[in-house]
Amino acid sequence: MKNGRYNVLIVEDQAMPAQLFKHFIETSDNYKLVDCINCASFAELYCVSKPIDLILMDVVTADGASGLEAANKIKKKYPKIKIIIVTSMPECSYIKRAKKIGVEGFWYKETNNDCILSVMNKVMEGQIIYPDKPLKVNVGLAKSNEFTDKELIVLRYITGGYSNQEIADKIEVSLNAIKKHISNMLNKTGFRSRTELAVRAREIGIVILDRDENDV
Amino acid sequence: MTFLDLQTSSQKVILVFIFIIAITSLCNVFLSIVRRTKVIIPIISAFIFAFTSLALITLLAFTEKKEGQSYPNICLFFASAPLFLFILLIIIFLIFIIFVFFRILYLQNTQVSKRSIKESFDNLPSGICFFEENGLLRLTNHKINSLYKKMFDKPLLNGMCFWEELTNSNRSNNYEKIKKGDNQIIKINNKVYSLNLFEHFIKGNKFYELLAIDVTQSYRLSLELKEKQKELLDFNKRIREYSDNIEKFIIDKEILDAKIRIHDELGKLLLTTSKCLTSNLSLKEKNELLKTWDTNLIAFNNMKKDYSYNTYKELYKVAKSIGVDLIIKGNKPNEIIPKKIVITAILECITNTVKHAKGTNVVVNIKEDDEIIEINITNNGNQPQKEIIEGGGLSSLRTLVEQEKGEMYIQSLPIFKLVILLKKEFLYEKW
Repeated sequence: MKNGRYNVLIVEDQAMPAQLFKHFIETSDNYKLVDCINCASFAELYCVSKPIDLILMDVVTADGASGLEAANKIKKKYPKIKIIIVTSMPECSYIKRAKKIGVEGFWYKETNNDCILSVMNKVMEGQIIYPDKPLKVNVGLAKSNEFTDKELIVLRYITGGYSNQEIADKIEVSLNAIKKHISNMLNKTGFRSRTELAVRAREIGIVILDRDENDV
Repeated sequence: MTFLDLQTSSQKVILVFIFIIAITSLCNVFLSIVRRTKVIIPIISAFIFAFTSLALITLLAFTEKKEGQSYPNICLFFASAPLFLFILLIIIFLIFIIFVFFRILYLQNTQVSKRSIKESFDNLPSGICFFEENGLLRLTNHKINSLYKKMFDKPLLNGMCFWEELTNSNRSNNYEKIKKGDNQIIKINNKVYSLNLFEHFIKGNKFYELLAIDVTQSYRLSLELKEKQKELLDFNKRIREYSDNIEKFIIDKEILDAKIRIHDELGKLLLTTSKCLTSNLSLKEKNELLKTWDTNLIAFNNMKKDYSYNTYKELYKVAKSIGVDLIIKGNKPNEIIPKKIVITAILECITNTVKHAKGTNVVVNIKEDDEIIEINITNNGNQPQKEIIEGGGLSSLRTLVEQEKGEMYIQSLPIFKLVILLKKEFLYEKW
């Protein structure tokens, strides 16, 4: 904190939300913008030499760098820095992963009733702000909350282009179990094929496979 | 009433019956021996033959009798026996003969004989032959003979030669070899056969069994499966590429949507302004209108910016903002894996330069030839006094490099230098 204002780093690769966040911070008396970067991999570098109090961290950033992974590293080395995860993707595992990392806030860009400034204020006051549940979106004829955890894991790997056998090996279940999950998802969504399911799921963003596949 | 009391024609009818019974009972004797029925059957059949033969001979003599001729007592016995006894015996013998006949027929259909073995052997759907160590054939079926003839245009005479010709030859005009080894697979006349050789030991002697199974259907299905698997791999590859590019597609789409919105807003604003110019506005209303123009013009100006992203450009900017002058010499890789390794290495070195070496300058040299990419990083900070022990960051970097079959070296003295070598042959597999 400097001159009574919190130092904020924005990690956001989409220009519109980045402009919006910048606008809110620059017009606020409580916050000072340190920088706005596109790639989450570079966030930790700022923490080394700049006094950062709060980071607004997008999840899927430039070059496929994971904001959650960056948040995890920063939280381990600099636990006092508060982090708010911001995303427009309804990916079901993000909230759970964010809680596991210990970030202080989670905000959906497009549908949240609370303004980002309000969330920032609450987080700097010491509150933990999370939505009650992940964004509910339509996936074909189904809602995103109708999928089981296992189905979402399988779907995540399908969008990454893995074969059924590869998925079975990765999550240590039988091939028939994988086929059953896929069959159930096709029945729920009404999609005609595995490919259609993968493409639509990825487009909507209910499952996103991290490049590093460290955590699914 | 006796046989002698009958008319000549009636006597002849009875004699015919006795003759038939004699002949059929004789046949039954031989057949029951061949078919290995119970011992009692040929014995009874033989007795019936003997009895009926004797009766026939004696009764024939009486039918041809001459005046004053005398006959042995046995002849008189048959001739003077009551007629009903004859008829009864004939009926009993006939029933027995019919029973034996059907019994022999049943045994013929159910007993396994050498002929039945050969017949079933020939009707097997697979080709099979048994032969000795020197190749001498012991048992073959039509299928294997026919297959050999099609393959080599000559009859099958030696089993070992068959197997050797099959395993040693690489090409043939008549058939195509699909698979070699212990299990040979060949294609001939649009049919696919799997040929295997087995060893057997029977009573201390070694025999070979050569089996040729028609696997045309299985082979066709396996080809279809391979085709489908290839299609699936292509699909998966396309989904991976789509997944890699989806973020860019979404960003482009969102930018386009935003541009459309801004244009619409400006259009509405122009219409509103032109209407307002012809009407009297208060100062407050004019200020509101100007504020709206301000906001929209800012958004319009932002729209014109170039949103394409360059990782290295941002890296320079980030390094500068924390007080480090980053210099990269050589070709900066843009492919996913080498780029990731280079960026991670630079970040780690900048962090260590700021935290430990208190330096302000990081120099990266990238050299590349046909086989290797060499990355060399130094800084102008305080040099280490002793060997550097790899912490979390350097260990993670090493794991990343070695995962891609690269090498990493850290020189601590006299100056710090980080060297990474990446072999293109392993990187190209994934590019």
